[in-house]
Amino acid sequence: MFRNQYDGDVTVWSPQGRLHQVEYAVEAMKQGSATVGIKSETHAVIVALKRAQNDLSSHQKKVYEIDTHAGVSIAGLLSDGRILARYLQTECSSWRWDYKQAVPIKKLAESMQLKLQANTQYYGRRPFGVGILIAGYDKDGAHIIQTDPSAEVVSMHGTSIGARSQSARTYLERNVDNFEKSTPEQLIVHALLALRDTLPAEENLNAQNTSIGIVGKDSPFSLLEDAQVAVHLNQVSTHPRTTGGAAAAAAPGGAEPMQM
Amino acid sequence: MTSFTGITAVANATNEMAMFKQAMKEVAAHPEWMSSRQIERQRWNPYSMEGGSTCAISGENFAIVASDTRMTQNDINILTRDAEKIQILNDNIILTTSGFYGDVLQLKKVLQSRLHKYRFDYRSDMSVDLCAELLSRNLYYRRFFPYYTGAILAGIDEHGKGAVFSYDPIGCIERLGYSASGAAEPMIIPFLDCQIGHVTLSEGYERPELTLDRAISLMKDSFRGAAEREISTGDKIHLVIAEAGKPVVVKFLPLRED
Amino acid sequence: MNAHDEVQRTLNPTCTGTSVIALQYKTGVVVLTDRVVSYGKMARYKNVSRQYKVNDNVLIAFGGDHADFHWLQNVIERQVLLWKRFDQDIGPKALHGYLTSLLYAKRCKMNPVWNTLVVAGVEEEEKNNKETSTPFIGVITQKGCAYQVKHIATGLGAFLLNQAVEDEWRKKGEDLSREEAEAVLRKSLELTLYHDCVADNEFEIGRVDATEGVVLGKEEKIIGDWSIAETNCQYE
Repeated sequence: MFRNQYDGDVTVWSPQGRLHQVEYAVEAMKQGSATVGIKSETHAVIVALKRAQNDLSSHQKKVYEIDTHAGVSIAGLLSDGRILARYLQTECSSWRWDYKQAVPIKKLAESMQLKLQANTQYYGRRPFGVGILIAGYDKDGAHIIQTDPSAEVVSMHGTSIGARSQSARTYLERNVDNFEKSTPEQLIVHALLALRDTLPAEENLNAQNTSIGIVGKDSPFSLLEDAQVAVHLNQVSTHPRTTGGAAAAAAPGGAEPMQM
Repeated sequence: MTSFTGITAVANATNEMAMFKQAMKEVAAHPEWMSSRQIERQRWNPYSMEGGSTCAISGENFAIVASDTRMTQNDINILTRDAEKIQILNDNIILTTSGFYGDVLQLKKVLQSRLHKYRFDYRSDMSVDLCAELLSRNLYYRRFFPYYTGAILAGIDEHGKGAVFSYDPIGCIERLGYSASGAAEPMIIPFLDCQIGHVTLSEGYERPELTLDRAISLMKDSFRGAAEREISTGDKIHLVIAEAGKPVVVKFLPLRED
Repeated sequence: MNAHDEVQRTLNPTCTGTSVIALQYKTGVVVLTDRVVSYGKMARYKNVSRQYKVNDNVLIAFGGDHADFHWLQNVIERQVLLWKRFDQDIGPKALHGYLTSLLYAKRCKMNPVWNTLVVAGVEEEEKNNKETSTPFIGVITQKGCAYQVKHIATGLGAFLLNQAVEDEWRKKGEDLSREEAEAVLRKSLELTLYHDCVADNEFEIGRVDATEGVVLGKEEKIIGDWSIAETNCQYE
C-alpha cells in the first residue's frame, strides 16, 4: 500500500471507496505475532505466540482474563490491545454490577464493535492498530469472537489473526469438522498445531513464547501456567511439522463466519 | 426619568411575586403549626433494620465467621429464614455484615466489583489486609450518608495468619482477635472476652492457644446463647471456616426458630 | 437535598395496592394479588391487575404506589428490549438484581420508588432440566433491601400471613402441587380479607411454570364467611 493523497485522515474516502487509514491499521494488526482461537461445543480456547524484543527482555503478555467466563488474546499493537482489554473488563464489571450475572458474549461483541467503529468515522481519531480474539462461555455456549481495526466483529468456529496467520487458518479449515466434538485437551492441541504453522521452519513453540487460555462449561477462564503449557507442547511435538510454515496465500478468509 | 418608574414598578411586582411564592413554599415545607418533632416524624427514613447478628474469630492459622440467617422487620416479623449475611469475596477474604440490608448488599457489590478489577490489574487476588483498608475507605466515603452496617472482614492474611477486622458504620477500623456485630453483639462480646480474651482470668494462669475446634464450639455456643435471649437472632447459623492453605468450608447449623 | 424539593417527591404514596402473596410449587411459582387500588382507605380503582408479565419466564407483582409501578413497568420494558438486542430474555435473577440496584439508588437520592416488588420466574436454562429447576421468588422493598424466598406475603399480609403460608408449606413437605399451592393462596386471601380493610375479594392468581411459561390469572371472587357479624358486633 502506498502513501497517497487520500490517507490524511480516517474520515477521507478514496475515489475507490476505501478508507486508507483504516486499512493501514489492519496492516498493523497483521504484523503482530499470531494468535489462534477455536471452540468446541463446550469449550473455547485461545492460544497466542509471544514475542520478546531481544534475548534480554521478557515476553509480552498477550492473553488476558476479563471475567471468570471470558478472556481475550491480542495481535497487533499490544499497547492498544491493553486498552481494549481493559475496556472489555469494565464492560464485564458493569454488567455484573447491574445484573449480578456474567455478561453475554454477544453484548461484549456489540460494545466492542461500537467502540472500534467510532474511531473509523470521526476526524482526528486513530483506529486501534490491533485485532482481538474473545473466548467466552455463556448461556448460549462457547464463543470465539474476532475483531479487527475496521470494526469488523464476527463470531467464528475457529480463526487466527496476526503475522502469517493464513497458515494457521489453512490448518483450521482442514480440521474444522473435528473441533465440535473435541475434548478440551484435543482442542488445545489443535490450536497449538495451527499456531505452530505460523512459525518459520527454524523456530518452534516453547513454554516461554506460548500462551494458552481456556474457558468452558463449568470451568472458569484460566490462563495456563508455563508448566501446564509445556505438557500440551509435548503432545504437539509428537505431530510432525508439515510444510514448515509455507504461507498458502490462496484461500481467502478464515473458517466460515457464523451468523451473529 | 418618569418613563423608568413604570419598569421599576413592574420589576418590583415580579420580585414581590417571587418572594410570595418563596414564602408559600417555605410554609409548605415547614408549616408553622407543626412542631419540629412532627416534621421530623413526617420525614421519610431511608434506613430500616433487619436485625440478626454476626461474629468472627481468628486464630494462629485460621479465621472463622458466623452469622444467623434470620431477617426481620421491626424486630417482630420474620421476612425470611434463609438470608445471606456472609459473603465469601475470594479464597481468603470473607465479609460479614449486619444492619440495614440494602446497604449490606451495596457494600458487598462495591467490594466484589473492586476485587474483580484488582484481579485484572494485578493478576492475583487481593489480600485481606488490603481489602480491609479498602473497606474502611469505602465506608468513610459515605461519612455523611453512612452505610448503616456493622461490618466485619475476616480471612487469612499474607503471612498465613488468621485476621479479623472490625468496623463501625463510618469506617473506623481495628484488627482484633475476635469481633461481633449486630443485635446480639452485647451478648456475644462479653462471652468471647471471657473465653478467648481471658480478661477475667487471674495472672499466672495458663492461657492456652485457641484451636480451631474450640473456636468453632465457642462460636456455636455464642449463637445458641444469643438465640435464646435475642429475638431477631435465630433460625440457622451460617458458619464459614477459612484455614490457611485449605479451601473455605461453609456449614449451616440449626438454631431455634421462635 | 433542597428543603423545598420535598414537594416533588413520592414521600407518601397516593394510590396503593396492598398485599402480594406468592408461593413456590414443584415446577413454578403462583402469585396472588387482589384487584383493587386504594386511595387511602377508599377503593379508588377496581378491576386493576397488580401483576405484570415481563416475558415468558418472569412475572412481577407489586404492592405500594400504583403510579410508581407504572413507571417501573416502562423501565422494565426497556430492559427487556435491551436484552433482546443480544437475543436473550431477561431472567428473574437478573431482573431482580437490576431492580434492587434501581430501588437502592432511588432511595439514596431520598426519592424512593414506593413499591414492594415480588419478582417470580424460572431461569431459561433451568427450564429444560427438571432436576435442577428451581423456581425463583425475589422480594425487593422500597429501600433496596432484597432477598430470595420460597414463599412470601408482603404488605399487611407479612404480619398476617407469613406464618400461615409457611406452616402450610412445611406441612406439605415443602413440595406442593400447583393445586395445593393455589389452595393455600386462596385461603390466605380469605384471611387478609377479614383483617386488612383495603384488601378486596376480587383477585387473580398468576403463575410462572417451567413448561407453560407465564400464565396470567383470570379474575376470581370469594365471598368468605361473614356469619360472625351477626354475633360479634362492636358497632351499633
